[in-house]
Amino acid sequence: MIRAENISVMAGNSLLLDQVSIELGQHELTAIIGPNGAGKTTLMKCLTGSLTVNSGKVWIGMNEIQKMSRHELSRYRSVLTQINALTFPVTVKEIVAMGRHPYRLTSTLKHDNEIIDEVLEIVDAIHLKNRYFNTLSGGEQQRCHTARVLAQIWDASEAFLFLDEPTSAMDFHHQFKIFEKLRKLVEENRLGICLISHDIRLVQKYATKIIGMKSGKLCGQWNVEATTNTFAKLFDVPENFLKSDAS
Amino acid sequence: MYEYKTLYSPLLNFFKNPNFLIFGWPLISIVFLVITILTSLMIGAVFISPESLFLGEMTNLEKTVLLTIRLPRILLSAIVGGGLAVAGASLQGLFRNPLADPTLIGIASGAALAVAFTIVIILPSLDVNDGVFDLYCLAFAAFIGGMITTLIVFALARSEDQLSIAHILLGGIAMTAIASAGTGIMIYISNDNQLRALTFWTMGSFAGALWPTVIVASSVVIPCSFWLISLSRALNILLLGKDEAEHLGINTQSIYTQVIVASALLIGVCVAVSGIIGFVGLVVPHIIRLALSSDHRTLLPLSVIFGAILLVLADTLARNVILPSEMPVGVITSLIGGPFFLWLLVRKKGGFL
Repeated sequence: MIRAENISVMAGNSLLLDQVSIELGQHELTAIIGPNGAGKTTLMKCLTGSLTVNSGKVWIGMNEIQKMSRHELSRYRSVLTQINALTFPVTVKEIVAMGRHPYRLTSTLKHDNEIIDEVLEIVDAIHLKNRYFNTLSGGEQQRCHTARVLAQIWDASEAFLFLDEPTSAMDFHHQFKIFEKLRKLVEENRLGICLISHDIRLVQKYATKIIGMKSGKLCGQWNVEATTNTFAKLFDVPENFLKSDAS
Repeated sequence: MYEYKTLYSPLLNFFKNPNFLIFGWPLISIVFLVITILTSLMIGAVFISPESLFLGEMTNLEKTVLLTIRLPRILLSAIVGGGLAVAGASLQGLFRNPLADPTLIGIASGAALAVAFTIVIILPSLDVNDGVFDLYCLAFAAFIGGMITTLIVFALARSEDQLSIAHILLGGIAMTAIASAGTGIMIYISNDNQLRALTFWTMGSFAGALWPTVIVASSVVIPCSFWLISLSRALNILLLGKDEAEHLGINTQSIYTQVIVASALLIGVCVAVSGIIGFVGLVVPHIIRLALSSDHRTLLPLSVIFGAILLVLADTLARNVILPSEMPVGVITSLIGGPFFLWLLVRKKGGFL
């Protein structure tokens, strides 16, 4: 379980996060939604330990996140950020293998290779294994990085997966296939997931908990029953804009 | 700028097999290096036949030439070549920029300014007409000049305990401009002899190689190369980006600092003992990336060895093409490296970089 207690973050004179408290459960798929500049990514950075909070505390299980080393953290949670291009020719397999770096002293090459195949299977990219990353399309690159972050926490217990707009370049087929599997992993209690997305349809279908943010504050928390009306209010748009059958 | 292909030829798969990349290739290339060095030992103004070299039946003249002139010179060129190539490869990996090379963070131009200052102002005022002493002064000045520039760039890029790569690159460009202006002033006030000495140094040469220089250079280059090679895994992961590497448990600040300090030491010493030799740090790592792999565990050790081979070959050419005189080796590496680099760029038609 990851828990934030009254965290605030300042940048210069502006308050990016204002007294936010949030709890991510081990068997939950939490989605954070909200308009641009609401502080979603800032909140995620605090929860992953990449950003120091100005006040408040973040806990992973019983440990305070600021007191954990990078190495300890790397075995508890993995983070998919928005993708960068790579400058040099690196294969998909090499990239996914980088996800096993935290276990380089404790794991075997054979075990790592099995995990690499398993996670590539999950994101439907096993056929891309020997391709160079930069020859892939945007969606394929995103799937490859998703495989890497899965490999990082594959055999950890009570691990968390953070995804920042994981489907921005993915086609519907792969969104469906990958999220069906991720939801299943959450239900099997293998990992907890926290994701940021602007894709209301995806969030409504797969999230077990939805958190709305606006100008650095939490402005609502819903379970699956959240209606389109609620989202329309949050984003300040007419309700029929969010309905797929709007005429 | 790279052509991406997936090749399935069985022969190529054997040579690109992970184990072969990490163990086989370094062994093969070391054999190449030894052959290059032995061949280069025979060729020169005094030709030493293979029989006399291997059986040790040499005249006194041949022995003197071999031990006091040729051997230290060849070893020094190998050491400098290895050092420049591994520094170039690591900086390219760290900055995630295929164009990064020793001149980028201002080390070489800072060294050049210090050398110009020494030749034009300090040496005439000391008035010691001793070639060896002058040489040591220049080497020491180049080292100090390179270090000072690196420290300034480093200090500029450091704010709130964070190192910004963009600031390092921009700081390096600014320092290069300032140092070049300073060198320009030195050239302007120099006399003809000083200008000649300065120009020759800037083009790079191993003509003054002596055993003490070899020992000093190797005592820095060998440990620093191993230091960089030990950071290979971290450099691989840094290719993903700084945040991603942090998420995977890597202390990126520490890696930045270590790579920059080790490279600055390497480049400082290389520039100090041989002047500015361009393109080795750029061409060698790119050939290896294109031909074999960008995995730093392969790339860094092979860069050391192939850098050494390239510079031994270039220096052998430099001291033989216009006998009894010789060419600056920097001219040769630029003559080989420049066109080669252009070929790399145009090889793939259309968008590169």
